[in-house]
Amino acid sequence: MPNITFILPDESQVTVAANDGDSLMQTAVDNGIEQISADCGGCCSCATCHCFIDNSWKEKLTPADDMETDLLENAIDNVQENSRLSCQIFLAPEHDGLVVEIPESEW
Amino acid sequence: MSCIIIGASHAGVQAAINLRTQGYTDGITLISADKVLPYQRPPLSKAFLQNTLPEQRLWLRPETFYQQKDIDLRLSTRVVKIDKQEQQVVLDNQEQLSYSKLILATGASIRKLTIPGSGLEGVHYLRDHQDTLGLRDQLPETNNAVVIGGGYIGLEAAASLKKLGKNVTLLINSERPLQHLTSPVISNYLSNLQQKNGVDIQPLAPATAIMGEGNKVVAVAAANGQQYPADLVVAGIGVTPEQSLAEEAGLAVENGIKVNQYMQTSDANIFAIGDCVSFYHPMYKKQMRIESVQNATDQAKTAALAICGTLTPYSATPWFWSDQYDAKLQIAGISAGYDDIVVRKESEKSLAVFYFTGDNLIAVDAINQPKSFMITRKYLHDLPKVNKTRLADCSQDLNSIFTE
Repeated sequence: MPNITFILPDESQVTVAANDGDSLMQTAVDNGIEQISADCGGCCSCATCHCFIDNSWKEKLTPADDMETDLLENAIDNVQENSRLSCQIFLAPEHDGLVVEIPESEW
Repeated sequence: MSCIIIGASHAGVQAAINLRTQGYTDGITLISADKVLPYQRPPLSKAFLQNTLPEQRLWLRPETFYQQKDIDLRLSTRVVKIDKQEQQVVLDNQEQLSYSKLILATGASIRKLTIPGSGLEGVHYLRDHQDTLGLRDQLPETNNAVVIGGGYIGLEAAASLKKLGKNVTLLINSERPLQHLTSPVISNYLSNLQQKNGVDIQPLAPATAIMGEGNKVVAVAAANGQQYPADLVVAGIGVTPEQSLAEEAGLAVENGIKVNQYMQTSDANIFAIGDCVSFYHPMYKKQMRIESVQNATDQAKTAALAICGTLTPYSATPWFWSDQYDAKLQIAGISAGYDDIVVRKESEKSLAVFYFTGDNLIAVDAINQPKSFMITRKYLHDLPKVNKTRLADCSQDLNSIFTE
């Protein structure tokens, strides 16, 4: 059960224990982090679960596929190199300590 | 005093959540006729039907969430009456609850078949958690499935049943699937996709009777004179807004519960949101009723804001999605009433159809072309004028077409 820290738009932090195999989006939703809205329920259709993940974690994350990349690059104004859709990141013990920044919603 | 929400699907749950995030501290009672925790509906015809999504992933929120947010979730409970003078609702156990604000998130009910044999064992619908479980229970003994209805539910059910290895016949009333919802380009693509995957699509073949042996379905007769063997029938023939409580309470209804731009009904203390609502959409300048997750959640946010004192007119850009086989269909806007289309085809498997009235873009249907969906969704709100020649040319950068 990796511990995940969310940095919310108001810069407050919440650390929660995630279930192995859950997506980052699911972890946020299950823990009442409403700043991630995840309208499509995690099927990579809407880009409402946008987040930033520090590049130091890049090697431990499955890279974004074409669908995710296209959604990110075209949906979001403040897209950055470390932008991801949290519904496409599935958690494992090696992600313990992951820090996720949630931007102000653009939706 | 408190807020009572009738209906705990996407709209009702989102309203409860947003009341709390807006700082609403009074009681919230969330009433659901279902016996299970509030759940997502889109997977019911897709991943949950195919049994690839575990049940606990279907829940919109875990059980503990409602306790943590002090939301009194009443499952297996129906409201039988609203008394708007006394500001009370009466539950099916005769309990009376008072409200200061009431939110109707009653959704829509499936339209049922009325042809002979509709009551036979093996005839199913797809709307609720229980419907999908009922279907899944019957899958082991099913070889032949007949799906009735060429809308999204029919197409998704056919795709799911095919993926599960069944022989599938899809009977549709019209010439093509989604006839009233999309252009022939998209209909034909989806029709071909079903056929390529082995579904027998029969256009202009409304079901006329369901034949049984004993109580069990064995075949479906269609208007084309054919009979199709069936151990299982799934009907997806549309829904009607669930407005009877509102109507009986004397609220204005007209193909849905009528609301203003803040989701307020003809009674200032009663709001209505989601599939059950008829509202004026400022983007399209007409009265609409929209059945979608986006509409449910966004209207919930508008109602919660209004109840908490922030009046923000509803004007969200509608969007939808559907997954069938390897096709991801993403839709922004409402294409009804279009007079011109532009097709942007990047490959055999990736195309987008842009819908116009005159020079104004009003909607897009994108199949495996998320870029067209996303960019359109971003800029669609003012129904922009877009250069059609450039739009059809895949070598032209989409972003620059919209921002030129």
